[in-house]
Amino acid sequence: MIHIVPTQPGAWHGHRRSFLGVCLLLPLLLLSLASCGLQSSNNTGGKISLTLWYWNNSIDDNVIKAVSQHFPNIVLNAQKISDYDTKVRTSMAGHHDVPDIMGINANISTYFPDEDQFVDLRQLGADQVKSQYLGWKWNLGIAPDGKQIGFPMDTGPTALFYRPDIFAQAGLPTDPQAVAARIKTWDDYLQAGVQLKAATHGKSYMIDSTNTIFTQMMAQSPTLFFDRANHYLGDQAHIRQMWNEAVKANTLGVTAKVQSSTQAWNEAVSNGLIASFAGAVWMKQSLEQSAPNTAGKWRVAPAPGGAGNNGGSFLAVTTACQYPKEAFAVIQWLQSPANQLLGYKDLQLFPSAISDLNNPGMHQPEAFFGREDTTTIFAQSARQVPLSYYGPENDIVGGAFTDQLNLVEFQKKNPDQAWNTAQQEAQRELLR
Amino acid sequence: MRSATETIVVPKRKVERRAVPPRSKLRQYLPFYLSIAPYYVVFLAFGIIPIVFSIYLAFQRWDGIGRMQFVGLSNFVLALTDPVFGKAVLNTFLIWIMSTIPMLFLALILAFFLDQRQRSKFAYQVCYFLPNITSVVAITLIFNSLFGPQYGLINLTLTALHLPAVQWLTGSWAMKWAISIMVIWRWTGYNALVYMAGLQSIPVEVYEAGRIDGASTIDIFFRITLPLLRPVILFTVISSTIGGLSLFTEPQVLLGNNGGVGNEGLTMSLYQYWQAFASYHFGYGAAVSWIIFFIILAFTLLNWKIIQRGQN
Amino acid sequence: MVEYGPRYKRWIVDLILLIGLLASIFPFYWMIVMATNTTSDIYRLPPKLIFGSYLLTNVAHVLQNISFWSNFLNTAFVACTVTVLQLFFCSLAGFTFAKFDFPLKNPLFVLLLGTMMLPSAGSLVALFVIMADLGWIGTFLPLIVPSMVTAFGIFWMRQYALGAIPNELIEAGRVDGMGHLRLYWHVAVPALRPALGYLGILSFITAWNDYLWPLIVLINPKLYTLQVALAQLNGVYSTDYSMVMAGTLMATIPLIIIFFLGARQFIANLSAGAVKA
Repeated sequence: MIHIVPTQPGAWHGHRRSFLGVCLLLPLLLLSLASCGLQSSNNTGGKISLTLWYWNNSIDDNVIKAVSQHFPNIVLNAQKISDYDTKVRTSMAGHHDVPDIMGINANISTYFPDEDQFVDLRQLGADQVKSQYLGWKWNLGIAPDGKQIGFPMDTGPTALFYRPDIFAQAGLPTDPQAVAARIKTWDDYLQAGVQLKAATHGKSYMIDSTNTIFTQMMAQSPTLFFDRANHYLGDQAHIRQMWNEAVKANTLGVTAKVQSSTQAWNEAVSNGLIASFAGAVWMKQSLEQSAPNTAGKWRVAPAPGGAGNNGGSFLAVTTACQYPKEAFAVIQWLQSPANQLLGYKDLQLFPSAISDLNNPGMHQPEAFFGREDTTTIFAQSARQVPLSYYGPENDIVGGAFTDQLNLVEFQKKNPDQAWNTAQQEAQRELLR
Repeated sequence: MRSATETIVVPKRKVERRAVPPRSKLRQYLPFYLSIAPYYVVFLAFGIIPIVFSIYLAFQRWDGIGRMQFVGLSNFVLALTDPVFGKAVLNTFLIWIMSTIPMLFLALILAFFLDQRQRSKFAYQVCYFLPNITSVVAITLIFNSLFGPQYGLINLTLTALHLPAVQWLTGSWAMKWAISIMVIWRWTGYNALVYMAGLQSIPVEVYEAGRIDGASTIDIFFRITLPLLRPVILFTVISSTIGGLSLFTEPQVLLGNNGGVGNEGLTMSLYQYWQAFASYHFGYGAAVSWIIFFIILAFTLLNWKIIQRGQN
Repeated sequence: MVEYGPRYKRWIVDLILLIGLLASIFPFYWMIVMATNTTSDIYRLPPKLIFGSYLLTNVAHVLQNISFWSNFLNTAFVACTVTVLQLFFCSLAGFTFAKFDFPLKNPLFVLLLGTMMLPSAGSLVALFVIMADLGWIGTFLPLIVPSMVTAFGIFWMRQYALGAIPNELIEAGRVDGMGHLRLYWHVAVPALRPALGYLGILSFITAWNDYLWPLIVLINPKLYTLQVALAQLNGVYSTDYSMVMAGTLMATIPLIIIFFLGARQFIANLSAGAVKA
């Protein structure tokens, strides 16, 4: 039963006031507190204020801090951004709070259709320093019509990571230069893979997956999925050749059937299931983090098929910038050979400045690689990367191919059917 | 815990029996409309324009920055004829059946059991809620490790029990089970707490009357608890349907934007995200999101009808 | 208390509850393990399952890399504000939908449910532009105003109110001449306490963990919320996961505290004010 107990008269009035008060005042108070904000001003005491967006570990924070010393009239407001592309595109689409300087990752070609958002660096005097940087890297920052939107930051030269102890079991050479002499082409690599699989009775495999072969061959190729006129090249001989090589690896059974960038891959490199793989210089860190127990057991040799590049980033000036000349000066300084060297020392960002490649500061014996100086190999690769062009849809179309290769490898799909599906998927992507 | 004669405190007023003049219809209903208005105002201000924009966008081709290009119904046609999208829809419903239904049953059972407990009930509640506040980054790392093919704890346990290891992240059904396990892990406790809150409102006398009549625990559960809990059950079914059909986080962190090998873990929302945010096809993505909306709408209405019919 | 069956049934129940508890805790426990070790330890195989001694080191790294405390306060302010507003508006609306009749009530409610299913992606840009045009970018308003009342919250409150608020009490209040707001405050709110507790916890957690929208609208790093700041710590090629886990752990502890406060207040027992008819 309900017992309703009356209170003292008058008590209700007190309730009423406090209740109504709360109802009205609290939301208003909270909202007004919320509307206090911090306005950013563009001119702070006669100095020029520039905003820089970058992602964690893409630029040396020490170098950024030194900007104000080197440029006394510039205040650099550097912000680390996560989910980088989403934020950039939203800001640009909303035409609001677009940064003055921004980093762009290896997917710079996805910004080519929107090159009007960026300032042509050649008009700011970029050509004067062009000779200091690797030509192919410089070239990647140039849009199809010749406008330069990206200034070179770091690069991702590729090489072969391998386990000399497992190679020895298979009767393969163990010294890096000897390995390079023995394994010059991808066919040589696959043949060595057959030998290795037999010798280790299937306990180790030459390479992690078919997709690594495909991606690494792409990293070495001067022609990819599009030409500068944006014609689709995905059904042509050069792509087919790379596809066939990857499929061949699967047919010969020399892959460990382990996708890269997965937990399974970490497991596989930790316990010797994977005897080697081709990858970019930044894979060193991945390897060191994911397989610390194999320290000292790896070496680096030139990759089969020659020099290649996978990854790397750029700096750009947006048209929202009111002081493009000053912005370019900052960019140029941030990426000066001396500062790129610092970036390598602090963050292992592999330089694009040619003079750094020979700099003794970059060369030391590395314990994880048995005291080998791996920079020699990567620098050699960096110097010889061919000129290439990545179209805006390159990575999306490439995804269709790598997805199908996964099906060939993991679900035994017929390679020819997979090729056809890849073509259809690529066409579909281009229509969206 | 609950006593039979709880009192509420009602302020005393003189009971005035004077005739109340008939208020105008509007004045009579005004407080009601004012009470529900805030949501609609906020929605009109901040919901409508993005929705309209999204509809407009569905007929365009747009990379997120530059100019838009009108393409008519092309996006919708492409989506409805894409076998990958079809697979995503199928996966979504399969995973929903495999995860949401067991999850709700488990939540109900846990809630019922826990509600009856005396000791350390609160500690249990905190722990059951933990999955929902553990960070997504942490969940990514942990579950990827748990599902590792050779050294993952799950496979290690299976092989220790002489059971075959499962290729959680590459097998086509295994991937769906892995996602389902993650969903059940993450949402059971959450829904159990919803049910517990609902159980709070069931008076003790009802249970006592049942006991006096000689009902067993199972009888009480099915004849008393469930019917009284119906509104809350409806709530969890509807919100789990919507949530389950929009499943995104778990497959993305476990398998990546494309839903893993053969897209076997791809759900509708992940497909939309993949197309819009990872491939920069924002117009296409908008069209896909509207197709998904209608699918979710239809299925939710179906669920609602089923539960409502049960009520009558 | 309601007694349940003989002894053996009880331990089955206890076992099930315990398994559920361990399964729920385990990943969180592992998160603490990761936060107290180094990043290489995280990748060790088989995985390391016991605490290490690196917690303070990792915490120190976090504090060096982001302005943790100001981010924390920002997040706390936003989350508290959103929660208070949501509790008020959603419970009032839910109560009204559940217990009163008025023209167009059903179509309005169906409309509300429909909006729950609307696609939310793709609207980031549109909403961003709206906020920019209103001049709200650079404040916390974009994080608070659109979330101050939600369809989910109203739906939850309505469902709960249907069963929890006895009509007799409303009638009694009416007879006493109470207006709508007073009915809400004196009759509905006490009855809705568990639901309010639950929604409060949920709103708080959602607001606390919200990441993508704050990332888009918060321009000034001084206004960054905790999740945005923590996400900055992730790199593209390599991440110091043990540091990220330490930061995440620090960011999760307030949520547990809120849960304690909220649950004790509302879900656990209160002798005064609980409405049972």
